Amino acid sequence: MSTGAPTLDESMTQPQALPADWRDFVALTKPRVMTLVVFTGLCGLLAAPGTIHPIIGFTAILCIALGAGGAAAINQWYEAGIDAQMKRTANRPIPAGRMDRENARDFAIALSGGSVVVMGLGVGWLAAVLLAVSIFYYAVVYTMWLKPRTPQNIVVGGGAGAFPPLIGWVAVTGDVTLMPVVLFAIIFMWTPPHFWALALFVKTDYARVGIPMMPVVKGEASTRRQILIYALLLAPVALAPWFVGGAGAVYAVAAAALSAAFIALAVPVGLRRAGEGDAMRPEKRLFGFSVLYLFALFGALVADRLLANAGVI
Amino acid sequence: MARRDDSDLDPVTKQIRARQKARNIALGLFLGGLVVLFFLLTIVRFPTH
Repeated sequence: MSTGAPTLDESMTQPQALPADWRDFVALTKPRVMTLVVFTGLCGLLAAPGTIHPIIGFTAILCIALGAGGAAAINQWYEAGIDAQMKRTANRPIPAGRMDRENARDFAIALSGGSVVVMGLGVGWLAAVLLAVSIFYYAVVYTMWLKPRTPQNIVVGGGAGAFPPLIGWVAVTGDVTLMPVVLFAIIFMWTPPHFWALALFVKTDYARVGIPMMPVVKGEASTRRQILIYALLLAPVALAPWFVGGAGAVYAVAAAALSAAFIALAVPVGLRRAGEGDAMRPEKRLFGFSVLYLFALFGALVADRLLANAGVI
Repeated sequence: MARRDDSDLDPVTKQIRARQKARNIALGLFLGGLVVLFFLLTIVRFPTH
């Protein structure tokens, strides 16, 4: 039966001579992406008003991590044919031939389903529903539907990565209020400039496999302009937790400084034109800083909350 | 029961066995961790008092 997934070289669908190593299963969950997911989820959980039992809090974070891992594994199962043609992804377990596709699919379903069920039973069903929506959003809405069809894929699909702090917050409070939605909005606005900076220096890979990433479809100039626009829009959204009273001065100062640095790095990317054989240093610098930006911003949010709870500010 | 001797196996079979063993250990640790987590969750969520 056809899965509808992109085609894959026949040799990759055959059982392998060696069974997959356990490290290949870990690689299937995109552990580096998961680090950011876990961190933002933990920050949402720690910044939320109220208390949560450490065991339940740990379970919530574990489920967020496993759910993200499951969604990433679905992504790798579905895109194995595309991954095989891109230098950046060719060494992933399925395209490299270290794991057969069915194993990856079953592992992904077990992780995704298991994480939602454990979240529901151990933490709460609203958090579980949000986790299920985030997995569906990344695996189906982004990976299968948006990514191969529109250059706006990362804009809409960025919502998938924005769920963890919302889920962490809801795990504590049990309801969705303005503040966790603001945290969602921060990651939503951060994703396009972060991902397009990467897309600018790997665009030949995307062009080769026919993925309509912004630099491939609209060209570099348009992508650079939009990176700058999103960087400018991100700044007020990053300050929104302070505006709505969900964070204090420590966070406001950190958000202002980090956003200023983000814009300062986005300006040269937005205004310049790269020639043939360009090393793309400003783009790589912006991409690297964007990861640090999100870690630092959410870290500041938690620090602000902890200092307020301790009566320091 | 006597322990099976793998010394006469060919290198590929040895490697397959080693990978299977490592996967079994990883899966066992993961499932064991889940059992402990469920036990602790039960105590936290359904206290006896």
